[in-house]
Amino acid sequence: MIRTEEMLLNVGPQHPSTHGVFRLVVKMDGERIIEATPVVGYLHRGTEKIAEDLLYTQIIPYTDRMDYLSAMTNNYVYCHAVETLMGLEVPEKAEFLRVISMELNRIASHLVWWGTNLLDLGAFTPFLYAFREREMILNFLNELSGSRLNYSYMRIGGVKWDAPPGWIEKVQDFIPYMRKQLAGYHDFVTGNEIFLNRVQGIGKYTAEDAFNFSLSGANLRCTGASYDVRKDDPYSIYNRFEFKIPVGENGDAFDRYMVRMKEIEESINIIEQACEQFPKEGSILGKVPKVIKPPAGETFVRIESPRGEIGCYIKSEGKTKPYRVKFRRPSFHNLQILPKLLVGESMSNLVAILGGIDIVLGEVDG
Amino acid sequence: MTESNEKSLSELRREAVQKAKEEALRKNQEQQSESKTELSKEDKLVEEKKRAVAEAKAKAVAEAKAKAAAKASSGDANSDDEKAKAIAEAKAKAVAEAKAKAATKASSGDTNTDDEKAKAIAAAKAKAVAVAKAKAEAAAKAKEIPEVKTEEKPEVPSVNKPLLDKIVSILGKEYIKESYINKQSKEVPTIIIKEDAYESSAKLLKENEELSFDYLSNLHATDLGNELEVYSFLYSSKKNHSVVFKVILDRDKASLPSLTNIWEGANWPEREIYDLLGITFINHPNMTRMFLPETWVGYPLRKDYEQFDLEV
Repeated sequence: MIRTEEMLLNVGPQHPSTHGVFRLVVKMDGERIIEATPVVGYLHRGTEKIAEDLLYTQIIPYTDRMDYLSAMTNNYVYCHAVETLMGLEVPEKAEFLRVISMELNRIASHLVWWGTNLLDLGAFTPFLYAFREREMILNFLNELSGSRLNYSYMRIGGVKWDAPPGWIEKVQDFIPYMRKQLAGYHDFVTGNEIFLNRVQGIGKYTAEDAFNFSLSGANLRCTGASYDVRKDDPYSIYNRFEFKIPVGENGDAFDRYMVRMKEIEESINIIEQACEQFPKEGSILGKVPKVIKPPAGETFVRIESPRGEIGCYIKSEGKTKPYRVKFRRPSFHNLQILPKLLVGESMSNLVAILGGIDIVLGEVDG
Repeated sequence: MTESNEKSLSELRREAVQKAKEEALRKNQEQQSESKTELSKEDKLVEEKKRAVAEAKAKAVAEAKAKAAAKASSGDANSDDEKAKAIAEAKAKAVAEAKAKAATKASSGDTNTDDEKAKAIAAAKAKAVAVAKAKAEAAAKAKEIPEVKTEEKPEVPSVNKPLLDKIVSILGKEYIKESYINKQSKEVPTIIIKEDAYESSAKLLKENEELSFDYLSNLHATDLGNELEVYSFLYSSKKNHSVVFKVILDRDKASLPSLTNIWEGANWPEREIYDLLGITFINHPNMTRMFLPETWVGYPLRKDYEQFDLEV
């Protein structure tokens, strides 16, 4: 008989498929994984500690750097928390700009995931297509905010810049193009036999498990649970638009893929409606005091980021600096289920499962 | 309300002005009939005025000179004083000029000057009356508004009040330190539980069919200075409601039973709390630091934390 020995393998912290600095200590028996221990913290910058010593507006750039693939939603959740705490009204036009930029950012984020996840699985070309379309979105966001990745576009009570002339029309022109490309993606990848064999039926879990592990976003909805903060606890002006919450059935890596692809479609729908209803007149910043000093109290708000439910807790003592800031970072919670999913899988599936969770390490480590 | 008030105000003003005009007209007519007989008197008056004006001018000039001298002597110490002086001078000049003009008018034998004065006075009086009225009304309004507000406030009970009552009755009042609706946090029901009932209450919150909080959305802790507070935000996917579940701990004996048996998702957040705030969770499967290395000294999110670093 062949005698096999248990082997300990370090995946990462420097490994291209972990998309950052994530280390996974894997105990293997041959090709099978017996145990997997995630080690995180390589990118821990202590955002929450730093924030305790900053003025309320100064914290916004730090939120960009948590989930750097969707800085808009991070900006929003923080500004939304301060606005909720102070009871500030945000002008309609600002909310429209926020929604359009957040949904554009959601598409850009999903495109990065689509490209890199397939790159992990050995398909190189989709990556190039994804980044071509993503670049167009980044150009839009660049025109709006002056930055390609770390936007810091939102302000407490509104946004920093108005849309430049012709910007809304450009975004409107992009919508049919993106729809066409998305259909192309499906023709190109979704029906591919090799791809289907790699993702179908792996990394399965039930809706009950998903709720129990505090998963959110596509990781939760792939099980058939339809929980999306945009619908269940509407914020901003999302209740003005018609869109669906795509859900899966089996809770495997393929369903997570399909949910994200359909989410791109729904984001396009939201952007289309928002561009149509976009108010031409109006201010972009509400009546905000020069020195932001929220009244004493605490607040917790949550919104839907591309990776799931992102939340922000602020405790104020009525001073110019917050007493405590805490971010509920969806990647951090989503990653918890990984050891459970990996046990019993083969080593080659590790990358497919990890890629399906769609983590951003800046967010995991905070 | 405000529109009609404004309307009535402007009407009042118009009426007052008209009355003033009518009075002025009447006076004018009377004076014209008198003025023919008292021309010589008026001439005398005009002369007297001229003299007075000349005197005033001389005085003003003398004063200005004196001020300039004072300035020079004081060495331009205070710029504010200078400004004030300059303004005063300018005013004095303007007054003198106005007087001079009035004098020239008077000297040109204009019979209307007095009427004009009378008109002006009447108009000013009318204005003053109108302003006073407006002020009084505004004050009355200002008084009215807060009254309305105070009446409205207690009339709006929170949408989540029934939920809060239900949770309190299910958990048992004797285990709850405090319960309230947090208006600053989208009216979420908030419960501060007693420390010994922490685990059992959490279990009830999840397993009770009316509550069924199956989703631990957020779990973190805060250093309150004298105590530590553990804050969890729970959500029910079946009922679509949420609650904030808090417990307050002694800083020196900071330990709690782990919630990992109830929600698996509590695993990493509890490790994060242990790492950054130093609360130990009993029965946790892996109570180690989450982000920082095991050799790290202290808990950074505690308010009295000071960095321990041999190299610094």
